[in-house]
Amino acid sequence: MKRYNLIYRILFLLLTVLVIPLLPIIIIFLGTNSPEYVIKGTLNMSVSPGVSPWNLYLEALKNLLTFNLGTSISSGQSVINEIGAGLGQSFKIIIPALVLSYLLGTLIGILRKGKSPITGKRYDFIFYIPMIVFSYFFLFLSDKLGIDFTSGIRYVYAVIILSIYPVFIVYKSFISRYHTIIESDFYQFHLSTGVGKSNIFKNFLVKYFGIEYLSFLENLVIYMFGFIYFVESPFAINGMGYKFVLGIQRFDYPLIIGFCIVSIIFFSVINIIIGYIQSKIDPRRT
Amino acid sequence: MKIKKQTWLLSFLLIIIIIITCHNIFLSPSKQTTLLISPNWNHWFGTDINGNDVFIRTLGAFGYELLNLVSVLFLVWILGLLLGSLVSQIGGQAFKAFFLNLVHYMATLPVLLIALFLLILFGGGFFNAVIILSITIIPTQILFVYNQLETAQNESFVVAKKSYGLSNTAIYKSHLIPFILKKYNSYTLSRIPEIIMMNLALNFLGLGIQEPHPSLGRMLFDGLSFMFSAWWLWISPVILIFLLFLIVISINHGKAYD
Repeated sequence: MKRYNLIYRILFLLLTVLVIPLLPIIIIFLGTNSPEYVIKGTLNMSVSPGVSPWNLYLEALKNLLTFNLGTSISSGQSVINEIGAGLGQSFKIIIPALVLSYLLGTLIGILRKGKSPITGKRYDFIFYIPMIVFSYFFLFLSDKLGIDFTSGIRYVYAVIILSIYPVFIVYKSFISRYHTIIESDFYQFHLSTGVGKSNIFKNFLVKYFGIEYLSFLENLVIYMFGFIYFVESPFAINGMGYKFVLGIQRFDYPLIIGFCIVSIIFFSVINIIIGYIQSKIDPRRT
Repeated sequence: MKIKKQTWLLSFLLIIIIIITCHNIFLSPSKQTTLLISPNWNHWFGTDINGNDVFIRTLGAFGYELLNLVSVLFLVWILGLLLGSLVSQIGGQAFKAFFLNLVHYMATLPVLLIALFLLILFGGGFFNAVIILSITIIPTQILFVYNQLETAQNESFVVAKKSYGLSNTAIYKSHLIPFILKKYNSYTLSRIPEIIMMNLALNFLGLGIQEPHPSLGRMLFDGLSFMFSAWWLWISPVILIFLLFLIVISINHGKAYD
């Protein structure tokens, strides 16, 4: 990432922080019925009659900067505490799922490295099936087999289900990168000088797999975050996804909106960090 | 495009399902019978908690799923092409750098959460879900079109056309866009699983299609409460989702040989 690209990312993060507090004004501007009630119910802000848009904006900005996202309607706890507790549970699934995805994807890639990176296999579609389908089958089969799915095994199920598609992504990326490398002039040149394949990979090319893996790490985390309620709801894991589903059922909008805002800012920061690391380790980006 | 034999078979099956769906939605009135009947000859997938036939509801939901998919695909295809071409054609380097960084930034945000965020603020429903899904998907479409156009501009035939004195607009309209169209179509089609997944997620959370209209995501959610006591409530949506993905990936698999 070039320096000005990094500056752009930081600029957009600041813009995001400045745009989000416009929401109460947008709600009023769109002519929503009872905007005071909607703003109180979603952004946890009291709007007094005749308040100027600028004051409203400043109050929303202050709330955002101090992480004052209100109180959860269903639990009575502050939203930021609820999000923290939920994320703690969710990370118990997401982090092992990420590790499993990279390890298993790479392993499958190594075993099947001779295959073409373009054409897929007939059973590839399994990786695309929504994880909710797997969650239901795991749950149903566990019951039929007499396995107590309310025990710690539900975390194992959740990790496996959450990593099905990411394993495929890592595997595909590995195969694609491997074929790019073995067809490169650099590789052919070193091979012709008598350097062994394993030595070429060990000394020069392992780093490129690292760069490749880093480039979609954020996408995998976003995927897992976005669909985590597909595993947490069926297995009743009290993580952010489960809280999210309950929040929608109970009209706990401060919690949902708070989680969305925190996630957007969190991923923007992650994006900048990953971009910075890439700029340091990838010579093509300097 | 070389499409394999099983794809034709699956597509045929899909057409049959669409015909049955249309028949059930438009010709047969919804009959309510006894609640939670297990599958039998009269009700192939039993009845739900309101006494509706689960099979008919599943096919209805499948119809809505397809309608949503087609609507989103059409919107993102046309707007992605239009906006991508505009970015490529107009503005200086500074504008392009700013816009591309903005699109890159948007593409790295959690789109599903943004979609949920917007749907909660503006209200759920089929129409809103289509618009918001399209808005969240378009940035990457724009990026794809822009990158393809920028690469294509270095092709010798484009340089030749420029040397003939053709205007920039004419080159875009008659040469560059037709040149990238095939790749763009493939790229757009490859996003079908993503769109279906996102729509499923929105419906699962109750922010997509609203009752009394059926949706696969909501049927799955309702079936969760009856996971063991009334398994037929969720088994038919699961089978249909499985079938849908089998068809989609089968088509994409055929496309890979193209």
